[in-house]
Amino acid sequence: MGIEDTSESTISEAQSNLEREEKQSVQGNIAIKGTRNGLLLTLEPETPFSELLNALSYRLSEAPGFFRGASLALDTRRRDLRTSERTQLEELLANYQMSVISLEQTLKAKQEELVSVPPDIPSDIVLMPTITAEFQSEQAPEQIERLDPRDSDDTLFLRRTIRSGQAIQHASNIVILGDVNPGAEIIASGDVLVWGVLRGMVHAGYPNNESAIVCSLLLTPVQLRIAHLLSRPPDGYQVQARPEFASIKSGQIVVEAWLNGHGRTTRK
Amino acid sequence: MDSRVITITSGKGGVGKTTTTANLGTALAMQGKKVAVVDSDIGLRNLDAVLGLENRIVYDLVDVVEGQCHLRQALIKDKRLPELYLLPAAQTRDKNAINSVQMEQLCQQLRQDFDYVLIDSPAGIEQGFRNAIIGADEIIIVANPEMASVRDADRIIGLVEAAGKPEPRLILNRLRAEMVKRGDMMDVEDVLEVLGIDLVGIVPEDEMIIVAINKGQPIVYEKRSRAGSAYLNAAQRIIDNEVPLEETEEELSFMERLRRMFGFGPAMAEKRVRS
Repeated sequence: MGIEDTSESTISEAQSNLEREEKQSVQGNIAIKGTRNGLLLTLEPETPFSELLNALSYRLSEAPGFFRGASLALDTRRRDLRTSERTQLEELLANYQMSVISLEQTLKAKQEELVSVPPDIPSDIVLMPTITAEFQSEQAPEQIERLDPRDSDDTLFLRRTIRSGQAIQHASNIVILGDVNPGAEIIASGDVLVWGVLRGMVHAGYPNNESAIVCSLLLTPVQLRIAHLLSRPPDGYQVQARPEFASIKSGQIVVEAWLNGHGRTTRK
Repeated sequence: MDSRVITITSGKGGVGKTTTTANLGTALAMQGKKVAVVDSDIGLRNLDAVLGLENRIVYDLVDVVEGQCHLRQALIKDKRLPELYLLPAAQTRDKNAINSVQMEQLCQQLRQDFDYVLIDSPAGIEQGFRNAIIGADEIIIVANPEMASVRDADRIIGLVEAAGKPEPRLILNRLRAEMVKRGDMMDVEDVLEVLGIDLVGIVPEDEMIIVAINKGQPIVYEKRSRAGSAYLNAAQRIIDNEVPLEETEEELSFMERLRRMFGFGPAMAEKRVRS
């Protein structure tokens, strides 16, 4: 009997320890700061959005009275939200009669805040692109390219074949030395350059950078997207055995030979 | 001699994984190697039937893993070759009946008694597939020269590499030379261009395979079958990676065809066996 009792108490102790640990890690992903102009919500750039949402929901439920009716400014400098993510966030906040002010509206106010930053927000916040190389869960951890946005360069360079089922997302340009096979997905906010055969799906200029281009040594994508436009090769289209580049011209995705001068698009 | 665990997989179903496993296993055993073929397609077992051993099953892979019997009790000795054994899958269970750790232990156990352990993987990329590759030293992907199969093979290559296994090799199965010639089928080059991996063999489409499967007798016993000789050659390449790929499997010379018509057998394969 005595033995059983001890073990039970150890288990419950361990459980409460576990809970405490969980609480801490959950809270570490988000930060809510009170400022002169209201509350400022900062989201950890590397954490999956669902976890952030859980953490926020937990935080709000701890002190519902405090947060009720408050307006919350979202700090998008380290992590920007997709439309669907933003909707989810707004739904959660609506439960507490809270609203989201976008950062742009409060940008001026925040410049002032930065002078008196709380200790755990670095004072030298710089606008940095978020890098995520998203792979399927079955990928072994060592294969996942986890690049820290702070010490990476602008452009993501990959020297391998991107195969079916693999998805690469990056907030800037992507250069691939290798092929992009059917069933692979490349999504970049900037340009996509494939030094190889492009057979998969590429989205350059995601979500709305219309000056983005896609080029490859052989351009035969399943589908090509630039900014908000989507195109596919016309039925019966003969693949041109030459390097080509695609860009938006007068509101349409246009594919041209990537030859002398043609590729030299004027970029600002 | 150190033993090799080789998993035969494909992603897509129906491309010839089980047929390939049965024939490579038989061909390796014909070379005097001690071979175990393992059916890891739990719930949809077929390898036993292709080898003509279904009526001898008493225990299966799940029984071994669960400790219901010893490995030796579950291994079924082939009726033709003394060095070939089959570990059948359970038919009344599903893929979740075993986990990756158990499968890896099983591979280690089989390694001690055999030169070659060939694992027949289920289709798909779920638990059953992961179990099948976990203990493998090498992966052989079976693909047909058509788009769906090649795309699935490409997906599998990505997953195999992500699992930390060496780059898989390819068996291109059911190639129809006359269709390729007409431009109606992807040829070897087209497939390799997308997948970018090494070939172990090219197996032509062959009606005799269906007859062989129904009889429960692997096609490698059929001296006049081109598919059979292709499998024999592939087995040679598995034993000794230096054997060059012959283009004869795709474009047989007139003389060769004539010789085979009169039953002189696959000359290429015989030459290799002797050397």
